[in-house]
Amino acid sequence: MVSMQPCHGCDPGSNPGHRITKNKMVEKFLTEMKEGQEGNVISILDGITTTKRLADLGIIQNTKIKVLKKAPFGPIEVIARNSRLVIGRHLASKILVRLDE
Amino acid sequence: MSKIANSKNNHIKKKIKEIDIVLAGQANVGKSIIFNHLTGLHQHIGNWPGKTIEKAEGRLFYKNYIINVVDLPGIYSLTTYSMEEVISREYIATKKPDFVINVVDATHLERNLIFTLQLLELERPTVMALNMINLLKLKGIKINYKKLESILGIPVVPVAAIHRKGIAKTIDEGLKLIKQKKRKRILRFGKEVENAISRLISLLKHEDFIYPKRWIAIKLLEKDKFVYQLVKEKNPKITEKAKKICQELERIHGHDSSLIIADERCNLASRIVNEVQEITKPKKLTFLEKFDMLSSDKIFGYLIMIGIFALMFSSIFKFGNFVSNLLESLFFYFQEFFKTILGNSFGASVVYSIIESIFALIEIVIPYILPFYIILYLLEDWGYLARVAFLMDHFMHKVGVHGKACIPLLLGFGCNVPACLSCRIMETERERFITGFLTTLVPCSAITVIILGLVGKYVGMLYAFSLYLLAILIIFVIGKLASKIIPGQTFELIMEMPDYKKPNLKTILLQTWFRIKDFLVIASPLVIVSGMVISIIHTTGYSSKIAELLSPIIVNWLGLPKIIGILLVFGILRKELILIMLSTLLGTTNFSVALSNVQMLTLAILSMFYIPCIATIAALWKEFGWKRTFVITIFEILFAIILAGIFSKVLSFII
Repeated sequence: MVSMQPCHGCDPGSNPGHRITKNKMVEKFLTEMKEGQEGNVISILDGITTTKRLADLGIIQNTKIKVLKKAPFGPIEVIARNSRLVIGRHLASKILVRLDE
Repeated sequence: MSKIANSKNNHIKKKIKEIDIVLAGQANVGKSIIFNHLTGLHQHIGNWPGKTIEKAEGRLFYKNYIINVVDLPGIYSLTTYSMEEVISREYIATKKPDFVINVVDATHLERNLIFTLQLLELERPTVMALNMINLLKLKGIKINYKKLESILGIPVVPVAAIHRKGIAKTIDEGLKLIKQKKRKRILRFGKEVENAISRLISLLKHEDFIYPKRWIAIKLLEKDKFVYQLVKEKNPKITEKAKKICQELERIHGHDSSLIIADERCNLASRIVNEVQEITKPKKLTFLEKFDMLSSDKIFGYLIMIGIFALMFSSIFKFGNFVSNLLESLFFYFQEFFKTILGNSFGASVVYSIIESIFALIEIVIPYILPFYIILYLLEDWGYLARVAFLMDHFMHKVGVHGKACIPLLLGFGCNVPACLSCRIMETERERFITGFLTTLVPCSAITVIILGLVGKYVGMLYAFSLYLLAILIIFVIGKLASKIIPGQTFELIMEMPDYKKPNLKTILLQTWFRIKDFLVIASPLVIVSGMVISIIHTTGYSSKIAELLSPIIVNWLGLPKIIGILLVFGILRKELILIMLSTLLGTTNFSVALSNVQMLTLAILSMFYIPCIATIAALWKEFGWKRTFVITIFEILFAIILAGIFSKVLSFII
């Protein structure tokens, strides 16, 4: 039920680890980002319910997002649209972010 | 409120009008503070019909109006994702309150606006209470209220709920709205989406709905199952055409149409915020913000959490023990007093059992439940519970629940009753139930008395310790199973991390008071009646018959002496009675004379799980209704008998 279209030539999910696009921009899943790193959400690789849920809290494509804290093995705290959110690790591993230079 | 009472003299001249209003908003925006300021002691906390979701209702007399206020659950959206959201949206759409107060956290305007936009789609007269304006300066945020008002087309009232500022004005603006009946402004989405919406609205032209047409059109684009079904039942041709319109829209945007709407709302909210909000760099970190950083830290976070929990539990247990000893010695004199006046007749022993049950209840409520509630609400109001959820999520997920569940479970070690009641901090009904169920399996302080006084003293501390490990293992396994069996998904954790806020004492005390009142309404008849029944059984000499009746289980299956059957009946009232009665029945406190090591272990395992005590049953009843309480109780009786039986067989080989 994944409805998200892959965008701008990146094929999310096919190769794990760092994804480097033509413009040499680094793409990482939220779980792979370090505390303090920032970027824009490229896509959410999950079903519609989850994607809508995130949208209700203001996380959609192109939303600027910054990792504040990562609980060991646990959820990830981010800041988006000037508010702080906690996202479960499993869900965070489906949010792909293009890092800022 | 100060202006409440002046209507009393005027009401002969002017007719008093009764109106209904609701408070709607996201979690942690200060809704409950506003609700408590409005209604004070004129409130009632119950459940929504057929649900275990809390419904707070209250009443306020203001300027010739009787205003009924309903505080909707704090939610992040008005979709049908959770029960709370369904309840909120149906209440607003079908009960059509006279006006809606949308409580908004001014320091997180953008995220809050996404909810506001959904709320406005329901087309009820709405006032925005822009709360926490007192914190704006500190955060370096400036909001142009007038501009926000004109963009949204609804009155926006700056509010500082904690200082009681702006609350009366919010009501005034709402009352004005009722009189004006002015046409609502509609906030428009992008061109293609608006095109699709207007086509859908024209399709719906000839149908009659309780919901606004534009809302139905938007929901059709969002592929809302409930609305889809509703429209399909009226006219399946419309849903067929709606599908086509969705597909057309998807072709233009390259997304699922439900996501297009969500995106549109986000973008609209961010455009509005850009217009009205200005952020300058905040001042350097305050002490609270530094603490904030530390309290969710990988190492310090856990240390601080352990510290806070240790402080919380030790102070509650110290206070509880102290007060309960005090009460007990006080009641001792009363007991003597009642015994001398009542004498020894049958009627007297029944009356006496009622008095004793009331004492027992007081001894749970005042020393334990009262401080538990106050501290729990203090931590919640302050914002700390969200940190606990963040830190503990990983561990608790293994049992199928979110991080916050560790609080009720830890509370359970003290007393299952407040633990059960505190399950309302869990977000979904399903998690609330699983957590509540698990708390009844946690060995409480009464069971600790049995474990230490029986097993620890006569069999060995190592065995006593193993019993605790057994309990934790069982909670883990049953939690895993329950989260598999009980229908519904475990949703991934997505929640807001609230900033630390100054707790509001009035709100905390009112919440504590209403919850305790509620608990007593359910618990007191249950405790009194069961106390009476047991005393009648005892004085009429039926207890030996019950022991006889239970003996196939107690003697044959569990290998315990017959009198244990009587103890288990009394243990329903309070589990520590098992040990106390055992010494009276045996005529000695040296239990090793009457019971073998295996028997003591079997009895301990049996007492740990065999039934939640009557006060816990009352707490379960209050939170989950009688059906689920009944299921839990029956399950635990069977489970304990089977488990203790197996252990007694296995242990007699080992020891």
